[in-house]
Amino acid sequence: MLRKTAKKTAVLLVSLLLISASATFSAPQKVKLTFWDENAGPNRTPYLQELLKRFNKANPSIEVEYVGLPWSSSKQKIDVAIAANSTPDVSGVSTNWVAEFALNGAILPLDPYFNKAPDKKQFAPVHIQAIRDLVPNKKLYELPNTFNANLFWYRPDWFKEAGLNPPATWEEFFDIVAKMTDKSKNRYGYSIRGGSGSVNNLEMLLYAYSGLTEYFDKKGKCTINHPLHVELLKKYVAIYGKYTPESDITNGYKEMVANFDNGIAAMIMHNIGSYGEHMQTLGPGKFAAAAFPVGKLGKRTAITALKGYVIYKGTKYPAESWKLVHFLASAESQSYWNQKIGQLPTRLDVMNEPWVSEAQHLKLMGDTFADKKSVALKNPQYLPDYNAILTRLDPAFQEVLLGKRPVEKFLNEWASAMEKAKAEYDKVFNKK
Amino acid sequence: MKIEQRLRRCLSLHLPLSIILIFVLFPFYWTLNTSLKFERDIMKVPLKYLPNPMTFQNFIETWNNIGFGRYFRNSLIVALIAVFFIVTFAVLVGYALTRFRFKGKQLMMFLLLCTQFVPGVMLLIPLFIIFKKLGLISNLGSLVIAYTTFQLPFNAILMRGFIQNVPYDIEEAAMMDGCNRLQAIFHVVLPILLPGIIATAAFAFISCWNEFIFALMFISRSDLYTIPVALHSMQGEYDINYGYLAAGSIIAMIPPFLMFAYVQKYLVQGLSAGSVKG
Repeated sequence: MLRKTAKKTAVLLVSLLLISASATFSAPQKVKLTFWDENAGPNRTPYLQELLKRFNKANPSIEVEYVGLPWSSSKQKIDVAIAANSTPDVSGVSTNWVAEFALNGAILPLDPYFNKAPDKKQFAPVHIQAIRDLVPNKKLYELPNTFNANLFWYRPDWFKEAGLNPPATWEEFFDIVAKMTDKSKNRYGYSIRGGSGSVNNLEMLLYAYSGLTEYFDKKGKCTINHPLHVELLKKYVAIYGKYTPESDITNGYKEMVANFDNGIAAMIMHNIGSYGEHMQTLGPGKFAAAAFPVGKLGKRTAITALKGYVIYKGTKYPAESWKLVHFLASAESQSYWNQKIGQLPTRLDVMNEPWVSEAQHLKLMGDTFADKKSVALKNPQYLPDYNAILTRLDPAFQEVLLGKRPVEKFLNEWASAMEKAKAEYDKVFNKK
Repeated sequence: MKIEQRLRRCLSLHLPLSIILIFVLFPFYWTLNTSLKFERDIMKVPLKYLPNPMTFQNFIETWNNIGFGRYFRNSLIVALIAVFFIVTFAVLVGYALTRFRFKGKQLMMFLLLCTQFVPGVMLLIPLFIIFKKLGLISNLGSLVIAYTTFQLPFNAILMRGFIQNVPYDIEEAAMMDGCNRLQAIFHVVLPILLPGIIATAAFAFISCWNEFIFALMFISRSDLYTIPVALHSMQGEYDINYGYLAAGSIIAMIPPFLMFAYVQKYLVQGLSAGSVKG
């Protein structure tokens, strides 16, 4: 009896093994990639998921698992994953994270794949170079698919009422801010970002005003405390509370954007990313974009922000990961994605598509960057401490707004923090 | 005289209470108001104090398309299981700290207190590595373990206060009548301790329900996210969907709201009991 049972069990086991073995041989194993979206949310996730669906359809042997991360903590999550060696295969990134990730050896250089890509010339060389400049070895660690830049959002209906045009010079800017203020109507000419992210925002304004294009001069001195920046900041601080709401001192981007969308401020400085919110709240005709005036030194300096995709070193499937990254940055994907989220593509072929010139803010940005006077500021995103220094300075800027800290002192502190970070960086990478 | 007394009471008690109530309830009212508005109306000036026209679309979208149904279930599973363990262990630890004399008792109390001084964020990477080795990343079990561990010391100390209030004589009487210690705990101490247990469970539940950073770090699968992670996702780098955010917040508020409505009487009883001899 016992023998019979043993025989039966053996036959069963062998047949099970055979079945599973044949299943293994007959069905090709699907490659499973994990993709982390660094800025998930209801206004973006459905479009990215649609792109991944298209990718899965075009590549049946690859399956992509989408994980959406909330923007506020996505960097922290990726940092922990890097420290614990548990990174995904691919993720979206802000370009200012790339230097840190690359220096930590967490992400792969994409050059072996990018150099062989048939469409590599379609990626705007200025963007590719900007990413290469982030690391001392000049390798390409990110493939950009979205490009964002700062501008003024203003109320064309109010401007028309007052017989004003968007500022063509920086003198006009301050003039308009004063003229558009009517405290009896709870209406202010401008809204300052004084809370989180304020110094980052201020940096853009300072260089736009001066027209300086280099963050460090030839001697390695930081240009942030340039006399023109002192001049601008003094004027800027003077409008706080007078032509701006006093609550601006705690403004993060959402409060600042809400001031504009609520009809409290006539003008704000933000990027093209808030287009969707203005459209939803104010509706067409009640908001428009204006480029920064040309700076005092004759250049229109702009800080651009790129978004793209990276492949992590821990991936078992670098070739398949590249396929995904390349697909997400392809002409078709960039066209779909950037139209949906209202931002600029990084490919020349997509920049020439009609939808770019049909949207006022995108056309304006396209034209502005095509202008010979426009130069992208080389801000030192390659410094691992760059973002931390800017964030650390936020409370100091609040003191400047309140008149508790002199403008010169603030800018000097900023400059010396950046110089120190650069000296450390140069020491490590023997750049001197 | 009576009118004057009433007036005085009204001015000194009811009026300040009403003002505080308005102050406390306004954010709830505004969240509900926002959640019932169309997205285009939320920021419109002049602000609308009532949702007119009204829509339930934000709730439908949030629950079905964004997946709050799933996140709600995940949060509930994690919170309920964690609360079960927290309360069970807190009763046992609290009992041991109250009824037994052992070497290092004071030191243990001190160590329990010390755990409260270490922020959870500091331990993220080591915890992540431990859970990874246990194969618990992207598993709700990791959250149950983390929440139980981090909540236990505070709740055990809280429970110790409640147990101190239960006279030992009652237990002794039960044991005289033939109960062993466990029977005495379950049949005599626990029923008296009920308000304290409910107060502890309520605190533990709220902490687990609202926890964000562990839930984000240890879960790397969108379908296993909990409610706080989903709520954070409503605030993007460039945009915030206020309608969904408000609807999601209302959904997130429901369990604590219902729970507090039910356990309120125990809670007040439990809190005061704990506070006297805590």
